[in-house]
Amino acid sequence: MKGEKQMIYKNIAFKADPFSYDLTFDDRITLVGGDSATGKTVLYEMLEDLRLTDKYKAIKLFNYKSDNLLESMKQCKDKFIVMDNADILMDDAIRQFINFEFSNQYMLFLRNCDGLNVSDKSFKVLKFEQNRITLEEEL
Amino acid sequence: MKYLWTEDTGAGLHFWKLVNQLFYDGALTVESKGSNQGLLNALSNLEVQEDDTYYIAFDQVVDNQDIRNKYRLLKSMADKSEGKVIILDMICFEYFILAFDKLVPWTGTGKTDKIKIREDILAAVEDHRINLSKIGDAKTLQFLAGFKRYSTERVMKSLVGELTENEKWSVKGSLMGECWYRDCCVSEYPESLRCGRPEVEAGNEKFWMLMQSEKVQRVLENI
Repeated sequence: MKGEKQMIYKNIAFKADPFSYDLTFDDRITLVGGDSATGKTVLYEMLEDLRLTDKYKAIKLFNYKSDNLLESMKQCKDKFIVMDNADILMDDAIRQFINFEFSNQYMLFLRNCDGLNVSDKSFKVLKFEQNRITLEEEL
Repeated sequence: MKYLWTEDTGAGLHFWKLVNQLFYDGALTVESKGSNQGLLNALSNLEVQEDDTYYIAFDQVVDNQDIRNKYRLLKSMADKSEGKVIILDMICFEYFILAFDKLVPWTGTGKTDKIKIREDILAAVEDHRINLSKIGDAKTLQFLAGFKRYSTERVMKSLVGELTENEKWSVKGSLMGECWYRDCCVSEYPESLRCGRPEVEAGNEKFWMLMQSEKVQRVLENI
């Protein structure tokens, strides 16, 4: 029996004035749900800049603009994969890749968990409080 | 009155009826509500009497969105019931069978690959799911990757089906296979028994042992 894979990032924290992000992850797969216009795509855009820093260079981003999504994901090892609009982009092959490629960690902006090896700790929503943005467990 | 409501209809319902008969002396009223939606419908129309308690055998896994949504509704109903509605902490009836330590010796299954897969999966079960990242065996992972759309419940039902393929031990039909609750082995062809000849032959004793198994007891202790 192999031990559980270490997370790539247990926490991602950065400032984007006037906001500060403090995102904590408790499972190798995190689904960020919640209503539309709650800041998911804004966060995705923030991460596009953040991944250029040395500390967060393991971040790999995928959205509707990404070509050959599955093939591109298959190149990823030891990465923190983020996918915007995952409800639309994911198919069974991508779900299978996520389930069985344990070297990566995943943050998916996704409402439907079907076909994914998630735990109760996977389900998060963005919470805004006094310009501080965190990931809270979905009730 | 104590009621036990299950979403199961076939062998799962039969299991609860046998539990009631052998473990609770018929003190429970066991009813199937046909599906998990049937359970919710029945609870939403419920008028609870003072002395009534409802135990709900709801198959709870975390990796199925429909089940998550329904469990959330069920939980809110239970929370408002002042202890009259109690959700049993279970994954599914098939998990009771899969986790039973006598399953392999009693059924006499010769599927060595599936026996190894069962061991790996049981070791990786936590909080109403199989944690795939805890499994290191390539063949087990290959088996799991073969599911077109992966889910904990689907894996358990499939694997239990494989390991109880002998009709006398089957848990797929309208009743549990006869070997689970009758003197072993019941067969029209006694010379060609395909079961593993349990050390305990009496039906009630065998079912009693299943009820005494760890995963079943963890649920029954709440009733």
